[in-house]
Amino acid sequence: MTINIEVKDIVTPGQVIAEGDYKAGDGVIKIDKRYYPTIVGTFSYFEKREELRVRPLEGRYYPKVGDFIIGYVEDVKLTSWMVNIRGPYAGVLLASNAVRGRFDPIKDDARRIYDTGEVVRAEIVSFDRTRDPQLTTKDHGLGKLNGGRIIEINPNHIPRLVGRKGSMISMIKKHTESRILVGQNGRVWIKSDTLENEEMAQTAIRQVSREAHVSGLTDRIKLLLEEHSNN
Amino acid sequence: MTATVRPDGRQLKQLRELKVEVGNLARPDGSSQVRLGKNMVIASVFGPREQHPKFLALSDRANVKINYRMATFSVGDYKRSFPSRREKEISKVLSEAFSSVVITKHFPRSSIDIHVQMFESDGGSRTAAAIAVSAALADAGIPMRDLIGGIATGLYGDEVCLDLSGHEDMKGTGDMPILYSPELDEVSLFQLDGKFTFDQFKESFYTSIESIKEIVEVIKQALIAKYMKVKDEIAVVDDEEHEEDVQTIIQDTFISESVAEPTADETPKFNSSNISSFDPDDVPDGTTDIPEETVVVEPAATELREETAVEAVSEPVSEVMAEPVSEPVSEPIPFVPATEEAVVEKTTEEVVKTEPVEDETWYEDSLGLKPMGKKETLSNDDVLRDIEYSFEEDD
Repeated sequence: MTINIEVKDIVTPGQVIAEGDYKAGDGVIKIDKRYYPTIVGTFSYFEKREELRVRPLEGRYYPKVGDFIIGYVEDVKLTSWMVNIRGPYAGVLLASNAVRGRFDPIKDDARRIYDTGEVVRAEIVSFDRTRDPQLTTKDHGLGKLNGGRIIEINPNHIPRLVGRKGSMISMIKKHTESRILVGQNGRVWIKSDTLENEEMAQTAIRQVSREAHVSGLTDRIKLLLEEHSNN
Repeated sequence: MTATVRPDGRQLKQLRELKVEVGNLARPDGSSQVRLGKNMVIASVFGPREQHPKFLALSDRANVKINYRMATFSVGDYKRSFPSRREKEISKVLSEAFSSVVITKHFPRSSIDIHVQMFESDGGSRTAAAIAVSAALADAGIPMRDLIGGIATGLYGDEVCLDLSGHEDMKGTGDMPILYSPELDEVSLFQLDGKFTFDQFKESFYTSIESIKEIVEVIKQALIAKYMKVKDEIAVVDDEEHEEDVQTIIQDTFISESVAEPTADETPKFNSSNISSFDPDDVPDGTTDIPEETVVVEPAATELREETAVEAVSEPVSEVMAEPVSEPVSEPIPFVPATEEAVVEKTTEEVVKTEPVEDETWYEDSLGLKPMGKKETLSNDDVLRDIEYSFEEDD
């Protein structure tokens, strides 16, 4: 029962994290009583559950039930839409998960609700290894996004962009006077009245993503934003 | 023994200079550049992404596809731009080697595409390519059981030389590239060209494996160096509570910024909380036998389920057995929640009773997936013994 690595160190595959009996959490495998990271990331240990975990620093978005995502409608079928959710699988949005009330494919045109190229925010309602993720836009606050711009960042940096109790994102919102929506798949929607504000928000978000693993980030972003709002 | 038999003045067991750089391309998910002596190779990883065409998708794991290409200017003569036999072969053997070490079961029906471009080639290019792929895969955040390192050993002037250069490869009489994972102790690619005696073979094999351990260390250093460039300290925010924060905050922002619904109707509102994902840890062990009528299962109320379970099992037993037996049999059956400890205890007891049971817990990951087949317990000595027999048969 020994842990060889200090918490928050960067680990790589093929490095022995610990030996003994622990729980192998995300990003960790156990092979013959030894625990290895499967990805490059920062190591964390939960004493209560004796669980070892490695948080990824890189990697694509992988869908999870309950995630709020921003997707592009790529294909319209008779009663469903195929949505690009930036993952290894295409998201399926059934008409029953998109429209309240009955959807009759003879009377109603699916293209009138969501057309190809449009942007939706959605929640993943079901996903497992055998089926593609199913989305819903029926919940309050979900649906089509009009205007604005979308930028894509590394989905592993989303917790940093949101910040503790949403401090980072609300700071960016306040200083740039823009509406910002963060999808857990790494897409961020920004809409603002002026072009400068929109671009400022974009620069700030890009910087958060680039320096996500460096401490003192909030101060640097605050400096950047205050400089902007003073000018 | 004269140590300077080699044309470039190296020792017999000396590597060429190895430089690994990671994350130098923006478009791919992961990339790397490797220089091994005069070899220069760039690998880029895309994925896991959707498999196209769909019929090639595997239902239980991801495809790992490596496309190895050499630039037309990479060799002395002009290399024809059409993929040669050699390139197809290396693409195939590398794909197979790496699909053994990538945890492909985490991404069913998807594909991981890797493009390896050789810019300069000077002997041992397939091992240089393997080093590049290994670094690029780790850089792309694709889960792997271990890193792979590779090197070629060969015979030059009847001496076993490590890391043959292009000239030595041409003039020499044997070439033996190996891909090997040091922590797993697994050889994932082994090729041999030429004629080795058994002693020469053994020497080559062990020198290769020793130097691969160094090579993998170089890859690890390169992976970490990428973050050291920007970093003074790792962020201190990552916390368990914080992760839940993110979920609720994103939910809040999604809801607060409401948009018009497509059509407003008075149908009951969709409630996502009714759908709970299946978690194998939450299924209690003893509750599967309960008759359906008696159980009122409230989601996530394990205490309630405990009581109903005890009633359901104990009642019919007491009715049948009550008359002849004076002692009440209806002692409550203790409810054992299916914690991991309980399961572990059981298995250890079984192991004590019956001796030659294989250890089932040798492999564990967060998804609870096991690799196919049984764990192979061949040691290097076993392998060598087999090979020795085959050498004897030849004679």
